[in-house]
Amino acid sequence: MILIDLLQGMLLLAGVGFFLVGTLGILRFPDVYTRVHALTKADNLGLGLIVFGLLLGAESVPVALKLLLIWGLALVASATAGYLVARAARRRGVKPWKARSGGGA
Amino acid sequence: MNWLLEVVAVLLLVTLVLGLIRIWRGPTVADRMLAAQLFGTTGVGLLLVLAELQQMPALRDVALVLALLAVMAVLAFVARVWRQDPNDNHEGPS
Amino acid sequence: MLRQNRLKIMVQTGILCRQPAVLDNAQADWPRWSVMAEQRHAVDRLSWISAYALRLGLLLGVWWILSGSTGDWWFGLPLAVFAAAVSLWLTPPGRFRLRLHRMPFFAGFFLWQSLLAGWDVARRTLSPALPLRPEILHLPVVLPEGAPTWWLMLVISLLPGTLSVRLDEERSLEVHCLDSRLDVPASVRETELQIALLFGLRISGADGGQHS
Repeated sequence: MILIDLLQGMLLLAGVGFFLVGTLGILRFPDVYTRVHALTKADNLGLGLIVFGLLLGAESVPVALKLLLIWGLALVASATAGYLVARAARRRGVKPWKARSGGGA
Repeated sequence: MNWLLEVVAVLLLVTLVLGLIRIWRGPTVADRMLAAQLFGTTGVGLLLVLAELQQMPALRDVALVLALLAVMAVLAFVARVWRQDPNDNHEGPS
Repeated sequence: MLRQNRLKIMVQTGILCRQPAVLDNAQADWPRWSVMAEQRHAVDRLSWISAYALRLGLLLGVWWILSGSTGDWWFGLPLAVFAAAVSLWLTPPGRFRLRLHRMPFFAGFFLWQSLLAGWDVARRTLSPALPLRPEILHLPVVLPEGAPTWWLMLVISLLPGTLSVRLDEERSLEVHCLDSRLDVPASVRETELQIALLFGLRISGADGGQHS
């Protein structure tokens, strides 16, 4: 039992960590396109980890399935939304940010 | 386990507040919209944690609806709002 | 029947095994890839019926989940029957069908890749130097139009360092990548292969001859 609690705690904290990273990415990344990257990837993983963490404590099968359904919906929703924002930005001629000579790293 | 759920909920709230900075700074409407999308995903996570913490299963349904509405908002934004705002600053870097 | 299915899987995994050799020089080989046998289905009355049954089953499952198995079927059942009909009206059955037995493989691929993607973004965000070298790539899509292409565009946005931006008329996909040092063409190729397998399409690396 204690092992499951431990695993649940780790999953939940890791999930929150990715949410924090996603928000930080939105603040630090230089343009719309890179921010979409940060948002869709980090937040989806964060939500996934939180969902799996909560799954371990789910009281019944329908509740567990509902959690998975919500995650799946959020995945499709944010991938679609990210694509739409990127496409709209491109159509409006927003120039992608370029690394200065040599770039970061 | 409840203290952990509380910590998780508070941290999620912190990310929401941090997201406000992007809404404030922009610079394009799309950046602000992205922050709104962030609110959608984080809000879903927060509601799921609260549902467990407060033993309110109905909050899961709220989370489901929020996930749907968040994408509708982006859709409406892309289809209508952004197209009609000529004063928007096009340059990416803030 | 069972044997035939197994044979098909063997053929498909055979393609999968040959894959790395082709991936090595993905960019050079790029235009030669083509969909060999699109195992398309004619849209006949049977496919309408089976599509309806499938969607009705899915919706009933969703209702069961949503209602928390309380069984308020007096409301859920008519709603599902109606919603399945509306969905057929809005989205008629397509030529492509998901192979359900491929679903677990695809889910595994997808989960692993999204884990990598989240990790990749986290690494870049938390590094003080902010190691980004974004670029836009134009990659030809070999998957047929319709559901497979949509899957590809959505899944690409959740893979490490890639984001689909738009698809033009010549079926060239514009991909925004976070880092030009990543081998994006290879991972897009791999994703196409996974989706092809999911839809029971056969992709071949043999000389197709069509150059762009």
